[in-house]
Amino acid sequence: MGKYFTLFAGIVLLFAGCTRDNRMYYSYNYMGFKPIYASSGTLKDLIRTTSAKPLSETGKIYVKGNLLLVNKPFSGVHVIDNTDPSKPLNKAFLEIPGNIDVAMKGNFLYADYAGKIAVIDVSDMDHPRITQSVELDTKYQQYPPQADMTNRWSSRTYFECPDPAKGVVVGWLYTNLKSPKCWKNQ
Amino acid sequence: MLEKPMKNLILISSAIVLLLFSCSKDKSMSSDTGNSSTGEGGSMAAMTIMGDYMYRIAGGNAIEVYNISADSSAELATILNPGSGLETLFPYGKYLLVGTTSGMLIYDVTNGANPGYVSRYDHVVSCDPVVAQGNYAYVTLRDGTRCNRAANQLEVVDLSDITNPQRLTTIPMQQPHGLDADGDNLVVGEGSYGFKWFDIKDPVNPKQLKFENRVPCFDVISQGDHFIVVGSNGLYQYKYGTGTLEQLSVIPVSAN
Repeated sequence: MGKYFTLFAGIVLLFAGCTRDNRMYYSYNYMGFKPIYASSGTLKDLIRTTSAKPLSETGKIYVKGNLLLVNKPFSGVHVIDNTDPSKPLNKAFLEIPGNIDVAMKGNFLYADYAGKIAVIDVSDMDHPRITQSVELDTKYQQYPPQADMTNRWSSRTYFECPDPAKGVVVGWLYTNLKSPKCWKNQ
Repeated sequence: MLEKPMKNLILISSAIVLLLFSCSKDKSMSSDTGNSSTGEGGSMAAMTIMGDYMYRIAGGNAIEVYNISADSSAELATILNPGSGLETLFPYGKYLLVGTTSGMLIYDVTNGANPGYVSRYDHVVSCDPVVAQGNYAYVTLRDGTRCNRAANQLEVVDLSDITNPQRLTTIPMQQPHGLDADGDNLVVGEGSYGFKWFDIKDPVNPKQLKFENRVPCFDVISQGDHFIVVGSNGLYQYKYGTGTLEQLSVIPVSAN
């Protein structure tokens, strides 16, 4: 009985927590979260090495030995051979949709992706091999994890309603939203 | 005047102490691809590896602990919920420093799977990465869209009593982002304003040597005799000189 009640309460809370507002309002702007999509496909297809890309938007950096990784927010990492810091060589781009942070141990690269961690064997950087597949978190596909944060300024987190037709949500970008139709109360 | 054996003893013990403190950060620039060696992130990192464990800030209110002893997989071992506003992680010896919007949290990760809370350092609410070297932490505070009513400053925090971090110095800044302390050098990214290079021979009183205002800096990693800066103009590398910096290279950002 208790189990069913918890389940029931959970479902009620889920619906109460996420709101889709269909009423018409004047156009307004809020800071909130926008889903970043990767075209649907399995993770194994999405993570791959492509030819070097010019640096565009730059994110965090990571160094291991002579390897220098420069994140492109929500896209992956530029792989730079920094053996000679006066002649760094932009060698390749490792596509990891949704990626912001990476860390390395030995020849393994740990990368965040869709709220989870992908583990990639990069001993041959041209042929990255995923050694831990990532299951998609259903909650992450519905709303940004930040909406679960205790926020001392506001109890409501706005976000752009995700559209599954656009693909898998691999990241949530904090930005200015025009008339967001979705929010989550705490 | 001390006697020679006594002198040697002091020398050896101070060498050991120095060695222990220098272990807080691996600065070796070898092409080491050994199976257990880890790399180094910038101070903006929200993910860091310490031994067989990887720590990750998830959703701003949780620290996930992954067991990566198998290397090829990351098993979620524990989730800590120390409160909201978690932003950056920095490995400091056996401690994990967590930069938050309200200050810094310190965890003892002697037991990697179960970090133990040690202490916290509070300041005004702002965005702030943290790095540490020796007995001192360098914390930047910055205003911005998600960092309400903030100040823009650099703080030097005494960690010699890890259970009771104390602010020693405050230096006003413009919009500090990532930073790195490495030997006598401290480089602080000032976001779109550029970056500043400080001499920290006296770790408590950083002395500004240069303000490079043409190179926006979001994050920085120092590597002994040179450092790497990344920002909206590109990836820049510099060599430390005596009061001057020599630009080694640049990979510019190009619109695409």
